[in-house]
Formats: sequence, structure tokens, C-alpha cells
Amino acid sequence: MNNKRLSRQDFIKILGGFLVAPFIAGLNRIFSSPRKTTSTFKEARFYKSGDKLAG
Amino acid sequence: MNQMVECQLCPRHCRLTNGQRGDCRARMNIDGRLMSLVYGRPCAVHVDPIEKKPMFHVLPQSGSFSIATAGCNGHCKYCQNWQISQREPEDTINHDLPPEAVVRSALKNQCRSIAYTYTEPIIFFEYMFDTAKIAHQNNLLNVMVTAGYIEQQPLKDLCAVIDAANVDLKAITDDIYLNLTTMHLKPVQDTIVTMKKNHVWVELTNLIVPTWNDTDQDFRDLARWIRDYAGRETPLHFSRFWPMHQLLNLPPTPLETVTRAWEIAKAEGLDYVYVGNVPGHPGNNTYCPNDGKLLIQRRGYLILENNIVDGKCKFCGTEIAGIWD
Repeated sequence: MNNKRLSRQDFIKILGGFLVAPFIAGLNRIFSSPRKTTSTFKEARFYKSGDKLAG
Repeated sequence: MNQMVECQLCPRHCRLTNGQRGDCRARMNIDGRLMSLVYGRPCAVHVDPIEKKPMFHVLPQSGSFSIATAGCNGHCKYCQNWQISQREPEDTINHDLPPEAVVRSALKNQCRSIAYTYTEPIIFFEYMFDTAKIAHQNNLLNVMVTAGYIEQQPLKDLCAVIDAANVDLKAITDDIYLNLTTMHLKPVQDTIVTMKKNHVWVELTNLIVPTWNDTDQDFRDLARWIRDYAGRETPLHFSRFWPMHQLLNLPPTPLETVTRAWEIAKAEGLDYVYVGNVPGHPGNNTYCPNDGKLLIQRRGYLILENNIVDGKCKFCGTEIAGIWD
């Protein structure tokens, strides 16, 4: 069995992975996942408004 | 200032005060202007075989980039997509997909058409119209799967950019239509006739719902109307009902009923009658209206055999109506 201790460099790599992973997951979520409807709407066609309405 | 608006897109003509939404849930009066709440925000985006629409006479075995937004101007008791059609856009998870992005994605996925489907594309008219224009510039066809409940003016505008439509003709009597779907029959019939006049390729679907629209007289009247007003070359898809939404109390359509409908419609003179939701039924296939030979053999959405060459029957040369290339 290999009882070699974890080197300082390996430790930093692992720690870095733990810190960076949630950040990447967050970015991925922002840029690729579907989102709830925001508030920018487009004016529709085919309607009458205000004074043009009869009755 | 009068901030009331009246939507003139569909026969409902919803009159809305400020802050109110139409029956479709996708259009809203905001400070006296009617706004589409779903432009560029589809809640369903998939690549489907075009056979799934169902569309059997348009580019067989090609991919169709399919989109839908939340909302619908119909409220069918048997709706299969009620989780999105009977919801407000805030209640669905939506993609941010403007028209250019839809076309880009369709091309990237090697689709030959864009299908406006799943819910009711009429209620996202502006989004569909703008996307369809860009699709044409990129040699993509536009396919609409619709209940056809729309006013004539917007429909005529749409016909300029839509190549093919599958229209649901849900019943052939107005009282059944109204009770089953909350829509009237006549505007739907007008839509079919206008589409045909404007050279849109039309296929029709009739879902056979037990106890609602499943008598021999129903099938005969439906087929006769199609033959006389849409033309005998218009494909008719009879679809088998499966308990859904508000009609969980009903059984699935018996296979004998579906077969009877298929036979009656053929006997009334329709050239292309199909059976859907029944795998392995001979009504899944296309036959030549002249010599009766098998032209397209289907299993599910797969094509096992295709004997249509340059839009004609390989055996007798009869022209087969549709868009084949």
C-alpha cells in the first residue's frame, strides 16, 4: 500500500476544484438553463383600442 | 382616457381593461396597448420527425424544429398538453429564443422545417410570423399545427409565410364543438377553406372521442364536408383518443370504431385517410389513390418503404398531392 502523503500541490489542486466547481455550475445555469418569463413584451397586432371601440 | 382594447386575432374578440389578459392568457392590455407576453419565449423546444405532427405528405422522414409558448385560445376537455396550453406564461419555464435563434437552431439541427405546434400557435402570432419570415430566407418550410380558431385577416397574413398546416377539425356539429372545445365550428371551417385558397398545404386531424363524435353519421358528414370544401386530396388523420385531462372517465377509442371511421371516409371519396395512435394499423400507410398500391409504409414515426418518386406513384405515375421536395 502506498502511504505517500498528499503533496502541497495536490492539496491546492483539490481545494481549487472545490472552490471553482460551484462557480462554473452557476455560470452554466445562468447561460444555459430555461428561465422564467421576464418583463419585456412585444406589442401585438390585430387589436382596436380606446376611441375606435364601438359600444 | 379609455384604455380598453379589443383583440381581433381570434373570433373571441376579448375586450380587455387595463391589466386584463385575453382568454388565451398570452395577450394582455398594458396601459391601453395589447402586448404579447410570449414573444421569443417558448416553453417547449424539440426536434421532432415531421410525421409526429402528424404531417404525412410533407418532406417525409425529415426533422422539424418544433416550438410552442404557453397559452391557448381553446380549452379542449381532452387536451394532451394542458400543462402548458392552460397555463399563463409566468407559470411555465421558458427559453429565451428570439426568431433568429429559432432559425439558427433549426439549421444547426439539420431540420428542414420549423413547426409551430404543441399548444396553439395562433396565440403567439407575432413570434410565429417573424420567425417564419426568417425561416423562408433560410430555405426552411413553416409548418403550423393548429385548431384554426382565427380571424380571416390575420389568417391571410399568415398564409403568406406558412407552407403547410395540420388543422384539427374536432367535430362536425357546432354544439359538440362548443361543448368539447369551447370553440365554434364555422370559423375553423373558414380557416381550412382560406388556407386551401391561399395554397397552404393542409392536412386535417379528427380525434375520435367515445360518446362525443364517434357515430357513423359523424364520420360520413366529416368526410363529405372535407371532400366538398377542402378537396378529396386533403389527407384526413383519424386519431385514437386516450383518457386525458378532463375526460379521464372515458375509455380509449375502440379499435373497431377507428377502423370504421377509416373505411367510411375512404368510401366517401377521400384519397388519403389515416389512422393515428394505433401502431401497426394499415391506416398508418399511404396508398396510391389510383392503383391502391402501398406507397409509404410507416411504423410509428419511421418510414420502412417509400415508393413515391418525384411526387408520383412509382408504379402507375399518378401524382401524389403534397410537398415532397
